Order: sequence, then C-alpha cells, then structure tokens
Amino acid sequence: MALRLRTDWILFTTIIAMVFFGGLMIYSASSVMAELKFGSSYYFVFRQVFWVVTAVSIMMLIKRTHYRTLQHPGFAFAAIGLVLISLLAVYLIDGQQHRWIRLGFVGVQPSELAKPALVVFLAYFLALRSRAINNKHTLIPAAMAVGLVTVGVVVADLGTAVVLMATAATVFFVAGLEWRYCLIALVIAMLGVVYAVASKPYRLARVVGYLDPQFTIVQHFDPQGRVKEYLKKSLVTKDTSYQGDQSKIAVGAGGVTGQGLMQGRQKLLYLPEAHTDFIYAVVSEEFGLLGSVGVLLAFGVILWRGIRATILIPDDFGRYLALGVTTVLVVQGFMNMSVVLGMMPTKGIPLPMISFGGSSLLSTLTSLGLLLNVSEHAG
Amino acid sequence: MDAGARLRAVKRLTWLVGAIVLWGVAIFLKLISLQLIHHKKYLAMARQQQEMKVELPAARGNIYDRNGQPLAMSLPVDSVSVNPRRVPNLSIASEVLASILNIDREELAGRLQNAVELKKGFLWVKRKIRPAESERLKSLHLDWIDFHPESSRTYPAGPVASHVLGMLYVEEDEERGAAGIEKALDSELRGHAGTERLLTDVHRRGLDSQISLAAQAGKSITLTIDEAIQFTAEKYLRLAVESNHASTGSIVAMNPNSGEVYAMANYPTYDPNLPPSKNEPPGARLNLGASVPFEPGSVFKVVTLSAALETTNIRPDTIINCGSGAMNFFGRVVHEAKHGYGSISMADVLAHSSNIGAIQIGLKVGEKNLLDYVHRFGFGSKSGVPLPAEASGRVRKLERWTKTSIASVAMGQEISTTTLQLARACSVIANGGLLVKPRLVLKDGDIAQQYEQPVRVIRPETAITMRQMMEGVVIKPFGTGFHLPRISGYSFGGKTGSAQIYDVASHHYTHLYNASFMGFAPVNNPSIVVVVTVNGSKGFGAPVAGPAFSAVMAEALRVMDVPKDLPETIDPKSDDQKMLLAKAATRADADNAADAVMGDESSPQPNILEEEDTVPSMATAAAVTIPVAQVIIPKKPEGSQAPNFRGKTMRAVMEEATELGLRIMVAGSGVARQQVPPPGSILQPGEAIRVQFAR
Repeated sequence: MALRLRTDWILFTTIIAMVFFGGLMIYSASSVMAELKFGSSYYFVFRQVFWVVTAVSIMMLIKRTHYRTLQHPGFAFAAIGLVLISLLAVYLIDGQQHRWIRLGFVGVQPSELAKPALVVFLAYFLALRSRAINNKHTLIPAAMAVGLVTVGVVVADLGTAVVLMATAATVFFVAGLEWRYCLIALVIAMLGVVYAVASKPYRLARVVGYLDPQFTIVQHFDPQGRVKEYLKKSLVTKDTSYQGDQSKIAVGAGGVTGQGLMQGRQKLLYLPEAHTDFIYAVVSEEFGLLGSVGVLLAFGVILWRGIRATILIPDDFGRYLALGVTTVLVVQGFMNMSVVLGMMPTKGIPLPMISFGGSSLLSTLTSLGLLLNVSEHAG
Repeated sequence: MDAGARLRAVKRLTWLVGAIVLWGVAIFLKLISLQLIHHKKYLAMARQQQEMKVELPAARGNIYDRNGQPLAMSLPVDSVSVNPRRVPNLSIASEVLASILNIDREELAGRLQNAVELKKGFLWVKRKIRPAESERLKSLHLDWIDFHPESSRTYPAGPVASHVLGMLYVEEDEERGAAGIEKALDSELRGHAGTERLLTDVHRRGLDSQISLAAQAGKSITLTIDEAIQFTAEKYLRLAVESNHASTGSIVAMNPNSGEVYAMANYPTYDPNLPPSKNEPPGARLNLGASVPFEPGSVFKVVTLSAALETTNIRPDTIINCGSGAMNFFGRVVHEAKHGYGSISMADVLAHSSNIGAIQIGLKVGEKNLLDYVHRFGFGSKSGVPLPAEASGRVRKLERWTKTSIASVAMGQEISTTTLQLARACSVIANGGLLVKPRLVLKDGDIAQQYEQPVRVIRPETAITMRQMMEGVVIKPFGTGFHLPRISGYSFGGKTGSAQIYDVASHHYTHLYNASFMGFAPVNNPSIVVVVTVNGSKGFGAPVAGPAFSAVMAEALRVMDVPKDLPETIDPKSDDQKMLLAKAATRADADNAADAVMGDESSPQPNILEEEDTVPSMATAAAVTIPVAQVIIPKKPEGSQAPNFRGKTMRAVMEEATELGLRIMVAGSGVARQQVPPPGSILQPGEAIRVQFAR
C-alpha cells in the first residue's frame, strides 16, 4: 500500500460546503423561533456547531481509516447488534415517540444510526455471499436482519424505515437478486408500509391529506366518516394539508432569486419544523430557484461521486459500501425535497447535511466518511 | 464476480441511477413550477397570511373661531387592543380589562372568545380610554395588551357655539360628524386614514412594520364666528329666555356686507363634550336659528314697506289711514295691539307697527309684487350656509293664496322663516340692497373661502329710506323699540315683532309669542346685523328680545372695532342692575300685554298682535351702555379643588384638565393668565373653569 491516496476533493468540498450552508440556514430558520421559545436566537446554532465539530471529526477519522478494516464480522454484527439493542432501549425509554435517548444535554436517535450500521452489515454480508446471492442461506438471514432493523425503526420513524428498505432493495438488486425475489420483497415492503401508515392516525392523516385533502374519495367508501374520526385523533395536524401548503407557499414565494438570507417570512412559525424537516423550504424561500437547484445539484454530486466509486472500486465490499451509502443519502435527500415540494405525503425525515439534528449529522457524516475513503481507493 | 454477473450488475446499476436521476429531474421541474411559473400566486398567498393591515387614524382637523381660538380640538388619547391568540387566560383577561376600563365583563369575554375561535389576531377592547385608565393598565405591564395613540374630540369652549360646531358620533370605529360644521365639513375635517403593513408571525404577533400610506391629517376650519360675540349672545339669550319664562330662543349676529356670521346662539344649549343624555331639554341639540322656522310677525313689515317703496308711489311721509283699531277684511277682523292710530305716515306705521297700516300698504303693493319681494329678501329658500339641517321656511305659492293671504303676509303671517333668514333679510336693508349669502367658514385649511358676489334685490335708495324708518322705530317716543337699551356711541335701527304662536292642533293662536327684534348699527353705515328671537314668551318683542339685542350689538360693535357715530355717554348703572331692570320691565309689560290682547282666540283666522309703546319701568334713561361681563361662576364648598393653570400653555391646560376630568372653557391665546374660579377654590361637581389666556 505504498500508493499515495488522493482525497476526493470534489466530494469533500461539497460535503463541507453543505454542512456550513446548513449551519447558516439553521440560524436563519430558527433564530426567531429560538428567541421566542428559548430566549436565545443562537440556541439551535450553538448545538449544531457542537455536532458539526463532533461529526466532522468522526468523518475525518473514518476517512483516514481503510474501509476494508470494517470488513470483519465483528464490526458488521457489532454495529447491527448495537443498533438493535438501542432501538429496543429507545422503545422502552421514550414511551411517547420511541425516538430519543437522552444523554445529558444531547439526544440521540438510534434510528438515524441504523443507516450506516445497516449499510456496513449489508456490504459485509453481500461481499461474503456474493457468489450465492439467490441462495436461501443468504436471503433468509439477510431478510431477517433487514426486517428486524426496519421493524425496529418503523415504530418511531416511518421515513427512515422507508429509506432503509429502499437502500437494502437497491443493494440486493444491483448484487443480482432474482426478479421473483425482488417482487416478493416489494410486496412484503408495501404491505408493511400500508400497515405502518394505518397504525398511526397522524401517518394516515398525512397520506390522506396528500392524496385526498377534501375527503371526497374517502367519503365515497366511508359514508359514516369513521376514517375522518380516526384521523382526528392525530394531534400533530388538525388540518391535514397545512404543512404541505405552508411549505409550498414558502418555496413559491422564493421565486428565482429568493427573498434574501434571513429575509424569509414563512419560518415565522408558519412553517412547521423550519429548521429540521422543512429547512429546504427556507432555503428555497430565501435563495430562490438558484438555492434550491444548488442543493439539488449537491446531492447530484454525491450521486455522481458515489456511483463513480461503486463502478471503479475493485472489491465487492467497497462496491456495496459505496452504493449503500450513496443510496441512503440521495434517497433520503430526494425524499425530503419531494415532501417539501408537496410531491409526497409528509414524513419526518431531515435533509442530510443541512437540517438541524445531531444524530442525523453524525449518521450522515459517518456514512460520507466511508464514501470518501472508498472514493480515495477507487481513484 | 464473473463477467456475466458483472455486466448484469452494471446494467441494473444503470437502471437504478436512471431512476434516481429521473426523480431528481421531477424535483427540478416541480421547483420550476413553484418558483418560476406560480411564483406570483404563492407570493400573494404568503403576503396575505404574513401581513396585517392596520389602519392609522388621521387626526381630525381643529375648528377655530375667526381669531384662531380653538373651538374644537383633537387631543391624544390611547385606545386598547389585544391579540386574542396571545391572551393567556380569557376569563382573567376579561375580568382585568373590564374592571379597569369600566366595560361589561360578559360582553368582553364573549367578544374575546369569538375572536379566538375565528383565529383573529386583533381585537379592539375599548377606544379612547381616559388617561387614568391608560395609566393603570400600563402599570400592569401585560405584554398582550397593546396601546394605540388616537385622538379624542374636545370642545375647549364648552357649550359656546355648540350648535354651529355640532358633534361627532362613532360609526365603525370612525368619528363622523353628526351635526353642525362637524357634519357639513366632515370630509375636510376627517382627513385620510393611513395604513400600516404589519409583518406578523403565525400567532399574529407583529414583528416589524412598514407604513405603506401615511395618515393625512384633516384640514382645520376657521369659522367666521367670534368667540366673544358668541359668548355674549349665548349669555343674553339665556337671560332673555329664562327671565321671560319662554321656551326657546336664538340669536344671529352677522356682517351685512360680507355675510360673515359672528354669532349664532340658541337656547336651550348643550355641552358637545358630553354625550346626549335624557336630562337635556328636548331640542337642546337643534340649531333652532337655522333649522326651525317660525312665523316672523311684525318684523316682516320691513319687507312689505320695502316692496311699497319700490313698486308704489308711497313714500315715508305718505299718509296711511289706519282707522280706529279694527278692520274687517273679507270677513276677517284684524285688530291693532291696543288702539287705533287714525291717519299716520308710512314711517309711523312702521314705528307703531300698525297692522292695519301694513295691510293697507300691502294691498297697494299687490299680491304678485309682495310675493316677489318676499322671495327677493331670501325667504322661502335656504341661505346656503354650510349647516346640514338648514330649513328653507315656508312661503306659499300665489295659487295657494286665499283672499286674506295678502293681509297675513303683509304683517308676517302665513309664512315661516328662520332667525338666520331674518338676519339675511335685515342685511339687505343694512348693506344697501344686496342679498348676501351668510358665511360660517372663513378659512378651509389655509385657503380663504371664496366670497360670493351678492345679488342686488332692492335699490340703494329704498334701503337707505328703510334704515331711516327703522331708526325711527327706536328713536320716536311712540316707536315700539323706543325703550330698548341704548348702545353707547352708536346709532341703531330695527324692527320689533311679536307673533302669536299658532297652535296647529287646535287651529288657534295662543297667548304665547315669538318675540323678536331685528336691527343694525350704526344707521348710516351698518356694520353689524343682529336678530333676536325668543319663542314661547308671554311678553312682546321689544322688552323680551330688546335687551339681548342691545347687549349683543354693543359687544359686536366693540369687538369688531366699528367707528362710533354718536358721542359717548356715561352709563350710571352697572350691568347687573340693568339686567334686573330689563327683567322687571318684561314682567310688567307682559302683564300689560295680556290685557291688550284682543279676544279673538276663538277665531280660526290668523291674527297678529303688536306690542304697545308703554314700557313703564324702563324709565327715561335714554342712553344705557351694556358692558360685556365675564361669567362669574359661583363657588360652593363641595367637590375637588381647582388646579392652578396660570403660566401654562393651552395644550398643557387642556391635557391636565382632561386628566383630572375637569371641564374648562378657554378664552384668548398664549399662556394662562387668569382663571375663574381661582386656584385652590372648591369646585362644584361638573363646574367648569374659565381660563383666560394672554401673550
């Protein structure tokens, strides 16, 4: 290994730029709200700075560690096992949302950390069994692992679960899964999603709000209005289409050049979660089409560099690692944008690198650290 | 990985990347749609929910008298609003607000609840609260209560000129003129409200504001009214009505040449600072002098005689046969007030105020000419003064005249006029034959109001002749106005009138009179016309309306600095004694007059009575001056102490008085020099303090 490695500067620069841009947007989106709620307009920014320092350090550490160090059953199973245990723990500790583990002043979301863990596990497993993908001895344990993690995540966080399933499906698909298995997996996944949606009133409310905001279709086969009654139990959204409408107003009001940094108005509590899940709306409102397309292109860069690494890397583990990471990040990014633009029902997923949130940033930059490392070796 | 598997992997990867890129393109297209194609729509939606328009009320213009004394001012006060969505506890909030602001708690709680349900971010709690209330509320430091500076209408001179000024009422949170100049010139005074765009968050908290349209203050109006003359007119009118147990009265004083109205007083009156109440006498808020016509009676003989001078060959010395005191005219018996005058000159017909003489002259003039001159003198049509409820009076068309109508009209019956119309008609005589338009507004904003060219209606010679004959009314010993108080240094002329009040319900003339006097001074170049009408008195014109006429005329001549045309005489008596004398005279005369009334009350035909010349207690003091007195308000040992206003500016005085809830009346300009009652004296509840300002 005397070969001198060249950092993937395109990818690296994009990541750092996005993280800094994210910090700026978090300040813009949260300052008024933070001032009103916590008495300090820097409340969220300070927190994010702490997480950026931590997460970037971890990313640099991983970037400098050869990815093949991870190609070891100890890492693969330890990672997935830790995630499963913490998912169980969070289910028991956070009785309400099953989402947060509080450690001092920081909160950790195990569901976020499940993403790199699952990617590492899948890469290890598929590299191990790459010659017998369609063998049931490969499929059943893999399906069990994916299923366990997904079920663990879906309790709290349907959006992340969908991202995880999509990632697993992608990796298996590229690895050469037979079409019939693909079909079976798709059917199971869809049934799972339908069940998951129907089990929580707020999820169903969001889906109905997206597909049928006036309840005209629902009225058709539910004249007693039981569904409507059920949806009313949802405390999150009284008006099922409110979030989507506010978000579209913000994006539309941005125009081509935007209102200018800090000049957006939809963040004045009209936009729900302006600094986290709907930060893309704030970006679009303040920087207009130029800003929103810019962020879209940044994810394009990640896709480009990720697929490039996937193709160029010689070993299977590196390939599935790069593909998994790329899929996780790009699918999550596009999903978040689609929600903000009203192309999908509302899901609680953050925009990687931009949104406020320590766990998300940690998870994203850990994954990107892996991708940077793979990309170096691919180059 | 074998080659086949590898190829398949690359193919599948390509499909996958293709799908993701397609997704990215879809996102891009959606962005184009939202931010480029539908940008305007979304921007409008955003602004609509983010911005709140707040009206900025315009300050209402002030109203000044001709010398710049404020008669109506707008003082700064606070209005209170809340953001219902920020009120932490509705029932506590309504409790607190209701107790401090003296409003109904239930009603407020209902309004708050309603506003919360409708997701309103703004609710007026009370407009224009008192400074003390504002202070108490501000001391609570509740951040959900908002204060808005507004202005409150104050009439610093109290009831002075109240009928001319009118009053305001509030409709849809906006002050509107309800009567008088406030109504007639409402659009000028009101100004234009501005708007402020308030940037709000989702809870309607204002975060930033931007004035999109600045409020434009209303124009100030300068009236032709002179506060001093107006004050005197109101004071003597009140004395005249009350001491004669009459019901109502009005006085108009005007410049016969320019038409400027110096005073327009009515009784009963009211304080425009107070809202209408049941305790007020009925009609207290009516501008009787301009809005309520009455039968003028003998003062109208001036019109008949002017018409005769213009259309017949009757001259002042032409002898008219007035018979023996009664005249049968187509079955209607007309009486003189006391006795027959025999054959007397036309000038003496006016001086005696002979009914039969007036009828004889009227018959010479003829129906058509008489009616023509009635119209020429401005009767039957509005004078065009800017008052919203001016009445035109009634003049019957010729077709509707009966055989006896000419006799009635000749002596001022079957016709109705307002005091203002009489003043205008008297001005025709005074100014040499021109019909002027009475004016109340001197300046509208900074622009002087246009002076309309008056119309000539009679020949100058006629007017001059009439002036001399009208002077005769007050200088001839047998003249009905002979016992009017003299005005030191000035000659004057005029005509008395005592029209019996016709009871419409019973078709009878009652024993009550519209006692009036209209006159001008000085005789050779009249500068002032004053008309006094006292309705429902038991006494005749001269003793009832005369003292008020002389007092107001004297004050107007003094204030307007009219050159004297007679040597001054020294008045041995004080003002108060004079008034007492006048009152005594009135009563004595009323008793006499009652004896003199002819017993034709049963007759359905109109009749007219005229006063006799003997007014016993007025003695022979030929010249009595009427100085203008200051109102001295009696002190009573109750209530709060009068503060010391001396040395303060008018605005400071007004604000302090508003704060203390005191009524004050101001005069002059500059800083406060004198006040009645003096500082420290005990005020009766509701008692006003009169403050004299000087530079």
